[in-house]
Amino acid sequence: MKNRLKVLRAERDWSQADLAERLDVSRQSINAIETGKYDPSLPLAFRIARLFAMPIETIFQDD
Amino acid sequence: MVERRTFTAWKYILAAWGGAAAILFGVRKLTGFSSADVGTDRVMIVTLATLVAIAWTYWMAALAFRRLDEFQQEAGKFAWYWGGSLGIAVSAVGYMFIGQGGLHWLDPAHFGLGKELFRAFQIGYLLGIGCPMAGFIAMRLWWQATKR
Repeated sequence: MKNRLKVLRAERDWSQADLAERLDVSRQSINAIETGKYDPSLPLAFRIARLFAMPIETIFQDD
Repeated sequence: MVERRTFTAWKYILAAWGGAAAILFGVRKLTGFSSADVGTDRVMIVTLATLVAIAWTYWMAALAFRRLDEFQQEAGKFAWYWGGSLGIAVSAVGYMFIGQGGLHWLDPAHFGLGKELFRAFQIGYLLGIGCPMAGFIAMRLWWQATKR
């Protein structure tokens, strides 16, 4: 699954640690999601969507 | 730098090991049992102490697991499932080697052969391999029953 997390984070000038803190997850998780090595659970995907105030499908796209 | 959640999880893991060791060594100190004492008291007290130590360890492990985020929890589940099952599979090779007298073949002076010795080894091995498999089956059935 592809995602735009890195771009959205960069647009806000947040570090991975900043985003991790906002989502209450580890920095490792953010890195793994951004690099496509880990797909977040649905609850976490919803939290991400809420944080960026966007629909999930604009952040995550199926391959 | 170690993240706060990881640090807290490690604190629980250390508390788990430290607590279990304290319970087991404490019982040994309090009762003064030596390895030569084989009797009902020793068997019951040490078994009960182990039960308490394991309950403590499991409680701490559950708290540590809950402190981790989903990525770290998934990493743990992946490692236990694949690492654990691979370990069990590989242990069968060791079981066969030892069971067929492999240790005696390597070091005859320290490892004897005998029916009783093989039986003790068999019980130890089956306890170690049977319990995780029984736990796996129980959890799999529980999942099936509660998630349909």
